[in-house]
Amino acid sequence: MFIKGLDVDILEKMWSRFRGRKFVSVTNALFLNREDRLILLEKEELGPEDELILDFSEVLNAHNVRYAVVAGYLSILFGRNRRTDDVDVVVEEMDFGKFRMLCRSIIEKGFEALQVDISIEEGVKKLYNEYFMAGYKPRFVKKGVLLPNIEFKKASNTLEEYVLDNFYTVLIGDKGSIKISPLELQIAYKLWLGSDKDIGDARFLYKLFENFLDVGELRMWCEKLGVGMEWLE
Amino acid sequence: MVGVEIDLEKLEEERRRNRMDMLRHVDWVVDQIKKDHKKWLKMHVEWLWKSRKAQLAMFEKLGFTKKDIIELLEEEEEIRKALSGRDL
Repeated sequence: MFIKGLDVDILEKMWSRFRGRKFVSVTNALFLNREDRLILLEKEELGPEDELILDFSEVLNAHNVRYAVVAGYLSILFGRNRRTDDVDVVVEEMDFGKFRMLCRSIIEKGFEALQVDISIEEGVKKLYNEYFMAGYKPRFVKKGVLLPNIEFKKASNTLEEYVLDNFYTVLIGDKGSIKISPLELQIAYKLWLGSDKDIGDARFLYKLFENFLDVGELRMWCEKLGVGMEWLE
Repeated sequence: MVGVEIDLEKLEEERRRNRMDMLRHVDWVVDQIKKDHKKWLKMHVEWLWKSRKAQLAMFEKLGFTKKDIIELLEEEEEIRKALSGRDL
């Protein structure tokens, strides 16, 4: 069986679920293996955001780019009833050569950048210098389809570096895999952001994974960010 | 994780930059609508339709009833009301 973005080790770990080891059932469609930092999500019908990030992660994996998906899309991935027109991806800093190669593969995969034309060298340079390295986010869409888009952000603080080093892999049925932020950090960060949408996301993730989260870790992130956990109750 | 130090000022600065980025994007969206509002609307409808279809399939898989969905929406409305007027 060919599965997008998967290597043999992960495939082997995925099948261990069927041998009845390690995975715990969060819901009837969601299984968690904390030890191997794996999540299995049975999703029969993909949304446009799912399809977009699965395709994009294939390109990132092909170039060995360290990345993790963060923010609102995560709650949508796990079933929250809201939409987002962007999927936020934090990636490691890279030099221009690697960025250029990545842009080539992104085009080959049927994507284009919203801000500039990356089929020309000048466009790639502009996207790299004026957006990626300047801390703004290049946005990528499927050619001719402007919704949703990938927000591509360079890791630029300790939290984002942590996320890149401590990601979970989510296997979305037999459709592919993506790397995501640890949930405890994601929940605390959403509380820190503090809008109704963010708090809704935090509550959704907390309630869904309530019995399986590391509460000590969640509390520690909340303390570091200076936010209370009262919205989660 | 214990050793991870968080620079809250830097995070605030990034939040500000993120908002600038969002505003730029909103300008871009407005441009697209001005250019061809019918095309934009059609794209939007297709996106929402596909998203909702996937969402309903997920609800079905998780065994959600209409009552559950209404309760979730009501809870979100309460959060929105509680946070209205809050300065972010």
